[in-house]
Amino acid sequence: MSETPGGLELQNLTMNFGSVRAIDGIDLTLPEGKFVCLLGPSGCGKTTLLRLIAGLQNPSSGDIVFNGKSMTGVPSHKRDFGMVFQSLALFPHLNIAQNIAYSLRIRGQSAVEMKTRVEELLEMVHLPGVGDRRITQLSGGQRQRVAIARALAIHPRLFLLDEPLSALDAKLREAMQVELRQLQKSLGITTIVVTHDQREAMTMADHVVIMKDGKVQQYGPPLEIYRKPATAFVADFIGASNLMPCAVTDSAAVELYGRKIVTPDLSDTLRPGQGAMLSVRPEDIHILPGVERETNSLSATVTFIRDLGAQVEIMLEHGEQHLIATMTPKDKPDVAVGDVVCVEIPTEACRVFPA
Amino acid sequence: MSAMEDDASGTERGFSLKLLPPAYASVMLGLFFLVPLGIMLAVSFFHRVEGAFYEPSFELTNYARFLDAFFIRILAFSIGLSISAAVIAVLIAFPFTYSLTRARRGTQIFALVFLLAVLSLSEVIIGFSWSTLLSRTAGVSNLFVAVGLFERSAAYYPSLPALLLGLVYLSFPYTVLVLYPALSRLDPELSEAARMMGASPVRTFFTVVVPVMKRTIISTIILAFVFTLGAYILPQTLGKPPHWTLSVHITDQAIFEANLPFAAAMAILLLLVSLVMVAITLLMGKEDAAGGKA
Repeated sequence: MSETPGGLELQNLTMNFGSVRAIDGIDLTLPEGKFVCLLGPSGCGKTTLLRLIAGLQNPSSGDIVFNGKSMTGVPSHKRDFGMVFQSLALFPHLNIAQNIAYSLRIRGQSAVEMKTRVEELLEMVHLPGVGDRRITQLSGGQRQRVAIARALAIHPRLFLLDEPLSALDAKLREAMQVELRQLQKSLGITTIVVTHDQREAMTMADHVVIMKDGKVQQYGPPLEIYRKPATAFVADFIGASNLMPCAVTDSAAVELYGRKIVTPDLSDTLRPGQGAMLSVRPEDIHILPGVERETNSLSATVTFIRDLGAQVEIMLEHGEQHLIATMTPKDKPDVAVGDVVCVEIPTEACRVFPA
Repeated sequence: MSAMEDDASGTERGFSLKLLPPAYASVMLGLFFLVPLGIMLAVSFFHRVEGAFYEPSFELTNYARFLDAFFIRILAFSIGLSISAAVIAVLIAFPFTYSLTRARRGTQIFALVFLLAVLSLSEVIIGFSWSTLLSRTAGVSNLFVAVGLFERSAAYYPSLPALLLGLVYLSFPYTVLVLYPALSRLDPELSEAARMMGASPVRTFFTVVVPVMKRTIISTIILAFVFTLGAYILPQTLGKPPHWTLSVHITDQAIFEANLPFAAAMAILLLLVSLVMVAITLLMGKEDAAGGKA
C-alpha cells in the first residue's frame, strides 16, 4: 500500500513453534504515524506477530526493518518501543508514579525530570494527582490508562498494544477505543494494536491487517475491507455475511439454487463453470412480499424476527440455506414468521469468491 | 435461600458431617502436637533426680541454669548459624529456581525429581558424605593436587565453613521446592514489560522479579531457618565442639546425661526464641506493605 520510508517493514517473516507455523511468510509495509490493527480469530498468529515486532521473540526466518534499519539482533530493551500487555503487567511493588517513571529511571533522568514527565503523562490520560497511589487502589479502566501512560513515557518510536481493552466491560471498552484513537492522533505515533474485536478495529484503525493461520488475508483501510473483502473468510469475519454456494455461469452471473443472479464483472477471478461462494451483507438484502422475480431473487421462509428496537433482523430459510437480513424499523416489511417471501439480492451487493 | 438454611442447620446427619473436618483437625493437632508440647513444658519444670530420672515438681532451676554465658552463647551461635545457612541457601536457590521455571518442561521435571531424591537423604548420610568429600585422604583436595593446584591434599573439616556447607546442602532442595510454585506462577509479562521499557535481563531480575517475590523470599528464609535449627548430626560430623548447636546440647542432655528436665527447658527456650524471630520478620514485612500503602 502507501509506502513511507519511516515505516515498519516485515520481510518474509516466519515463526515456527516446533512443527507449528505460527507466522507463515508475512510481507507487509506499515506506514509511519498510522494506527494499525492486527485482527483475526484466536490462534491466527496476531499476538505472535506483535511479539516478534517487539523483540520478545525471534523470528525463525525473515526480517523486521524499522526506519530503514534491520531489527534482527536488537534485543527488546534496546528498541525504544512502548508496549501495553494484555495483563497490563503493572508492577505491584511500585506505586503509580514509580511504575510510569520506571523507563525514565533506567535512562538516568533526574528526580525533577521524572516528576514533571509523570505529571504530564497522568494529565494526558486524565488521571491527574494519583501518582502516589498503589495499583490495587485503581479501577480496571484507571489501570488501563496507567499502563498506556507508562508505555508512552519515553516517547517510544513505536507503540504496541496486545488486546489492551479485553479486560474492560463493554461500555468502558467503547469509550477507551475512542480515547485511544484520539490520543494516537494527537501524538502522531505509529501504533499497532492486536484485537479480535472487529468493531474495535473499525473504530480505531487507519489500516487493518486481517490474519488467518499465520498469513495476511487482507490489508487496507477498514471501510475498504468491509466493502471489498478479498476472500470469503474476510467477508464472513468482518461484519456478518450470507455465504451461499453457487456456480459461475458467465462473466457476470452465477447460478444460486437454480436461480440466476446477475453479479458485478467476475472475469478477473473466476471462469464459467467454476464453483464459487456468493457473499451478501445482511443489510443489503431486501425482503419483498410475494413470489420470486426473474433474476436476482430467491424465495425463502421467514423463521424468526428479532426486533431490537434500533434494528430489525429477519432470519430466513431456503431449504438448508440460512439467510439473515437486517434493516431499520421503518424499512421493516410486512411479513410474519412462516410467510414465504421474495429475497432480493441486488447486483451491486454481490461478492463472489472462489469456493 | 431457605434451602441453604435447611442445609446449614437441618438434619442431624448434615450437622455432624459439617463438624467432622474441624473436629478431625483439632483431634490430630491436639494428639500429636499440643499433648507432646504440654508434656515437654511440664517436664521442663520438673525436678531432676541425680542417677535416676525426674519427679514431678515446679521449679525454675532448669531455666536458671540456662541463663549462663555458656548456654546463651550457644543459643546465639545456633541462631546465627541457621540464619546464615538459610540466607545462603535462598540466595543460591532463588536465581536457580527462577531459571528453572523458564526452562523446558522436561528439564524442570528432571531437576525437581532429582531435588526430591536429595531431600529424601537423611542428615546422617549427608553428614558422612560431605565428611568424606572434605577429608584429606579421599576428598576433593586430591583432585586439586592431581591438576597441580595444590602441593598436597588437605582436610577441610571439621570446620565452620564445612558445617555451613552441609546445612546449605541440607536445606537447598527444600527452599527450591518452596520457591518453585510461587516463581512458576509469576506473570512472565511483568518481566517482558520491564524489558520493553529498557531494562536488561539482569536489571529486570533485580528491579522486578526480586521485589515482586519479596514476601515469598522472606517466608522461604524463615522455613529454611526453622529447618536447619533442628539439625543435630551435621554440627557433630562437620563441625568442631565450639560449633555444636543448641540442638546438639539438647540431644546430649536428653540422651547421654539423662537430664530430661534441662533438655526440655532448653527446647522450650529455643522454640520461644525462634517464634519471636519469625514474628518479628513477619511484622517487618507487614509494616513494609502498610508503609507502602500510606
